[in-house]
Amino acid sequence: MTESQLVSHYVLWALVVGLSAVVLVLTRQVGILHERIAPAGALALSSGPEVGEPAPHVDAHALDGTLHHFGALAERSTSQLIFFVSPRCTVCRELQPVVRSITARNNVQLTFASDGDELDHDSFISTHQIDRGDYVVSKELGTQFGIAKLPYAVLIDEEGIVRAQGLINTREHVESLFEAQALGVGSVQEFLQSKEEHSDSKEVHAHGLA
Amino acid sequence: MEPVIGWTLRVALSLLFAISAWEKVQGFSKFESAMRDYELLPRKLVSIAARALVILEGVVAVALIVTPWAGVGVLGLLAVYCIAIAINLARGRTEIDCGCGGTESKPLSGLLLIRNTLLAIAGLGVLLPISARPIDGQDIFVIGAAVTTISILWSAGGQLSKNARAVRTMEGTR
Repeated sequence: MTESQLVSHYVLWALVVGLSAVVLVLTRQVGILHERIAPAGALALSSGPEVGEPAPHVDAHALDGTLHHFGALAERSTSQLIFFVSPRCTVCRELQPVVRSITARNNVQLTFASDGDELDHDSFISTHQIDRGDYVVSKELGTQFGIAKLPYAVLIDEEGIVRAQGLINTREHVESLFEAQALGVGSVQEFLQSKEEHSDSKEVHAHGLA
Repeated sequence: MEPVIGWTLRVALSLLFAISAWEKVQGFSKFESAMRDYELLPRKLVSIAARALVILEGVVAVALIVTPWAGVGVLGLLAVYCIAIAINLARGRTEIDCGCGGTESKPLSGLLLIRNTLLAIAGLGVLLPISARPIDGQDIFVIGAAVTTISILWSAGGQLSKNARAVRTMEGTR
């Protein structure tokens, strides 16, 4: 190689490495933008009851045989959170201690709901030390509430009215359900819609759900 | 095979397996539970198999620097991963974590199969006989620069597939 070729070779390599570094940084920035614009609360995806409507009435047995009544007709002294899980879903496993601590703090009765193979549930319950009486296996429950994606949570008040619901993937999502109940908005979508309608009060609301 | 290309493949693959093994050691319980979710092994064997895989990845990473025969190990590991992923894709279980390492969960997809096939082709390249041309300083520079570029583009690719998932989730909610 002549000297000028050699120089060109080094310069080109430097540019190639530099260029790929720029590409990497760009993709990272696109990723960060996605995180910023993603909804910060739980997304309501269910085709079941809407927020504000009475929850469907379902009777289901817990693993220890206790009969649980769900829905508008059941008498209850506290609100109830139905946490739809599957022993196979990683996020459900990671999130269950968070859901337990948040429901305990808000004095809400927590019920796990799932369906499918019995063996899976047994090992899920024993690894995470969940009370068998709080774990309901019922296909009907999921169908009645129109659950399509997991982990999903439905918050029902004392009178059996659905107060908030959504797909939950993080602690913020779980907390957003209780925020939503306190603010009287059903889901992130509803919140975003109301924000568009009342863009003046944007600041106040943004602090509420963020 | 031209020694610069052969060595570039060996060093790049070695780095990849070393990082992958290191990430799995860091998040071992996560890797173990991901392997359980694949539902291919009896529960009792999962924890032994998980340890074996991590150790194998580490051994392959070191062996790649020592001998081109490590390409066999690369092909073997990738074949196991591809079969495990393909079986679960066929079962329609795309929601489980791939267990690829790293702190974030990554779902199974056909993209993983394509990625692993490309890596397997690189593994085959390692096995090809290298021509006897002696390596000089210039070659070492090129190998270093090429491995650096490949590493950067590899992480860019990973970020891109993560971005693509974010785009899909967003479209699903509109």
